[in-house]
Amino acid sequence: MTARRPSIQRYPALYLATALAIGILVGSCTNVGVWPPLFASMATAVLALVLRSQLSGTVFICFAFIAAGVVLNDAERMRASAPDRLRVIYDTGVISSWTPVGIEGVVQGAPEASLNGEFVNISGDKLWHRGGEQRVSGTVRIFVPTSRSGDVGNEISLAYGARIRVTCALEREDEFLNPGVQLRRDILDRMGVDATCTVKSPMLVEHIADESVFLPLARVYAQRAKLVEDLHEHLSPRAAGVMIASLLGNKYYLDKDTADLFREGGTFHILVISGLHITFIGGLLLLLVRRMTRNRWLEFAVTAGVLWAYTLAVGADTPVVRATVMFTILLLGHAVYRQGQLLNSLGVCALVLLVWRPSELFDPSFQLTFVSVGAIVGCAYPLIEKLRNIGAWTPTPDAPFPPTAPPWLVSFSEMLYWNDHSWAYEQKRNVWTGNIHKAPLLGGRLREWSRDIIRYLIEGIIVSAIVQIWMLPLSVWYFHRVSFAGVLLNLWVGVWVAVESFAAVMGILLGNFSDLLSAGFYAIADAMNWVLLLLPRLFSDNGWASFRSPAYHGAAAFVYLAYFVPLLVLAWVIARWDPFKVISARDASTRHRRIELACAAAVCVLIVIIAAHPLSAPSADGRLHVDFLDVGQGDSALLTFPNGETLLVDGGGRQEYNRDVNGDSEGGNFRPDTRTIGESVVSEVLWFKGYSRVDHILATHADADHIQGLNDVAKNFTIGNVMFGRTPLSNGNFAQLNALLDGRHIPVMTITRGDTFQLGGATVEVLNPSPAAPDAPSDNDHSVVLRITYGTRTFLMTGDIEHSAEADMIVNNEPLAADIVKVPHHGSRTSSTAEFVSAAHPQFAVISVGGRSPFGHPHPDVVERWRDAGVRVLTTGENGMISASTDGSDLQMSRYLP
Amino acid sequence: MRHIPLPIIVFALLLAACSARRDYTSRVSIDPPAAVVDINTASAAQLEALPHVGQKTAEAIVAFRDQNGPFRRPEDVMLIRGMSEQRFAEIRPFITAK
Repeated sequence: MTARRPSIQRYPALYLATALAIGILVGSCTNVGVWPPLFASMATAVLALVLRSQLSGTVFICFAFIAAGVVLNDAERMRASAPDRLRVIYDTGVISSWTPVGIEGVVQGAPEASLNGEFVNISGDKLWHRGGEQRVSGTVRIFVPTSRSGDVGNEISLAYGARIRVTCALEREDEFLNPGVQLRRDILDRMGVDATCTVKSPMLVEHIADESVFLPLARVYAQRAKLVEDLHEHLSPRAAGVMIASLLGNKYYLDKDTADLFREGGTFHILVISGLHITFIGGLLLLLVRRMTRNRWLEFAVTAGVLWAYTLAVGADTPVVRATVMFTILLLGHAVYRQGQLLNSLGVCALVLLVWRPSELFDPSFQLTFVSVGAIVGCAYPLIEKLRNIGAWTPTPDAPFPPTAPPWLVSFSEMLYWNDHSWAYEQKRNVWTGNIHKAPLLGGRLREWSRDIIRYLIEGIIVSAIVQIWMLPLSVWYFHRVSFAGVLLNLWVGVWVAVESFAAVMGILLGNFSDLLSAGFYAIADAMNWVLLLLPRLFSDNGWASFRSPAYHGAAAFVYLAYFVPLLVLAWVIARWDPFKVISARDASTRHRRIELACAAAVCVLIVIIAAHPLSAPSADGRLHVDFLDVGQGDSALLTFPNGETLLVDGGGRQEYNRDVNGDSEGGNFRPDTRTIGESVVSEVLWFKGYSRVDHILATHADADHIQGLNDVAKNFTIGNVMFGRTPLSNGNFAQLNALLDGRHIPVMTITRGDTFQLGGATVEVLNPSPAAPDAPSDNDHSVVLRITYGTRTFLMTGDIEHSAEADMIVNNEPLAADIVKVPHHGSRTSSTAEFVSAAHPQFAVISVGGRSPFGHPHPDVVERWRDAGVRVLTTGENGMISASTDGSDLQMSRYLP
Repeated sequence: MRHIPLPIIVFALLLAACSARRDYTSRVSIDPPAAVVDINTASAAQLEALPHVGQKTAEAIVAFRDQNGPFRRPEDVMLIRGMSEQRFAEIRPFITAK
């Protein structure tokens, strides 16, 4: 029972994987080429072999792996930068995004169906551009919509292995250039995709030939497509979304409300096929196979074979491949009778994955997987194991004396693990008899079945809680979410998804024999889906599920790394803890004890620093800052006043401007789970800046590209108050936001022409709209126009006003002169009349518009008009987020280009 | 006896999987009538004579061609803004791309 000290001999692969990861990290920061580190790696490996002493051998082999990491990273970088790679062609500007091209290639893997079309990945090999043809390489992800004309002849088969030619405009250009917002190119690179495109019509896809494919795989893909269709047809849209995502790995059928419930409860990972699924399915398979054979190689072959077939069928996304690699390694260990250390298996898995694709190290999903599995394997399991040993202790040669753990812990463990019957049985088997004193909590009154349930529950809570604690920094950094409720909700959702899956699978299987029986199981699956969402909805509705939290950036971000130090020490303490070690009372209060307590205290303090982020928001600097966010086609500007108060003018929205295909809903309030500008752009910028509270928000008018994003802001942040120019409840966009604000008891005020107030040290004048009845329309010309003055500097925020509102303000002698003007209506020619331009006459005119506006904004005449007046025109599409700052007299301008 | 069925089942499954072949739905092609316009050479005026093609669309077709090279297929004309599937279906019998 003595705990051995962890050493490199015990977990060699874990240490080597760590060394390789360090090498990859070093390689990503340096650019030394492949040869020097390759030579260094080989030389240190030889030295490690020659110098046989343990210490030097260990050091040199670690160095060899670090150097190998640098080599792997550089080799991957070289592969990705081949001159014919599509990403290189687009990144170097040989062809620009949105230019019409023809691309030919072979469909890779299974096409993924969605409600209004199919997504396919093709491995491109020929490209046509401006009449010329060139050979290329790289993967293109294509969305082919369902034909709108309903002509069956327009449908095209996009099966695995089909060679197709597509005419479209490839997209690789970054959009939404703001600090804290993920770049499109980074997302694509992580997906292993060079470019994406949305084909306007399936008629633009030509089927040229069929390449030879691995037919069993084609069958698996076809079967998966059929299952998606079956589930979609027989289950309610919400249940179908959950089942298709969690069983078949296709998230395109998920509806936004359900997906958000999962996200809020920290249980979204259950909808992504990954470790949990593979472990569950693999474990179930192994149980079944072991009933048929005891040949371990056969067990390995069948279980691994089926798991890999499943992995390929569900699209072989990286997380599921990762999980299957991990499970296969564990199975292999089982096959060769090596009940190895789980941590070592984790190390082997990391080694395999990092050699296969070194850039995985920077993938959030890789980090989440390894931290969560590491927490389970390195911390939760050992703890549970020790509790089990304490609770089930009977005298053995290794542990002849009772555990020396605190009495409450012993009683608690005995409640869970002590079994009188097995002890009585054990007594019968032996020639001796004895009495041992056991005092389980609740006096042993628990029946066996209820004790089993409590044990599973408590073990589940321990695992879930430890995983949540370990994941906290990653969860805040990547998702800005802290979900303490996740500890409970994961257990709930896990159980019900398993039950629902069972009912759905039974429905599918029985569908081959009896429609009636299968309909019964489908109805059960639907009901289970309702039950599944009950608890998450209860938590979500009451705001207990999770809260959003900004992240620290710059040097303060080291807090996330520092967080792991006391956690690792605690994991080490648990690993070393021997509850049966005979200790004296003096030993109990030794230095170790103090270190343990200090680490536990440090973890608690760091949890508070990370989750409650008391230091993240910037302090007031006496300047007025105006950040015009790049929200594509839309408006959003964040004003930070000299005293630190914040005002968000509009929140952008309506991303589907960029799509030719709108998410067709199928009945009811089903909305596909797509990214919203308010969440993925505006909220991200605010979190990046360290805010969890916005003092004031203002919707200039009720158009979706201004008001929609404020819904997400109101959900994700604490809001002081909200300002509107008009409150048209008959307008859907306004009504939606108003209902949300009402539910959260956020005070609303109406501001109209003539209002002037002080905000954070600056003066704010409202120039438009004129006062009106409560339900008056809120169109472009009713946009709120603000003139903000700080010292001698003035900013004019104009919403979407058009020429009549401009004329109206001029007639009313409103003070329009400003240093910076947010150009009305994204530079549309319906606004910016010559009179308005001359009345405002700023130094800078900022146009809030994407790099590619579906409406042709900004209009060249408008840009010309401002320029002719001697104004410098800046668009967010070209410059990313545009920031202006003044102390009342100076004026500093900057832009965000990564 | 208990050990025999499983490998046989696996083998049979693989065999069943390999024996089936995929087939593709073929695209329906429409033969254009004799008097067709080549969208790669026609002038804006000629294009305007097509049904449901106004001056703006005709000019857009010519501009697109000048900027991006010739159309490879008549379907490519759908890349032009405002040319929907339905509109394309209406002019399809009268155009070609050589």
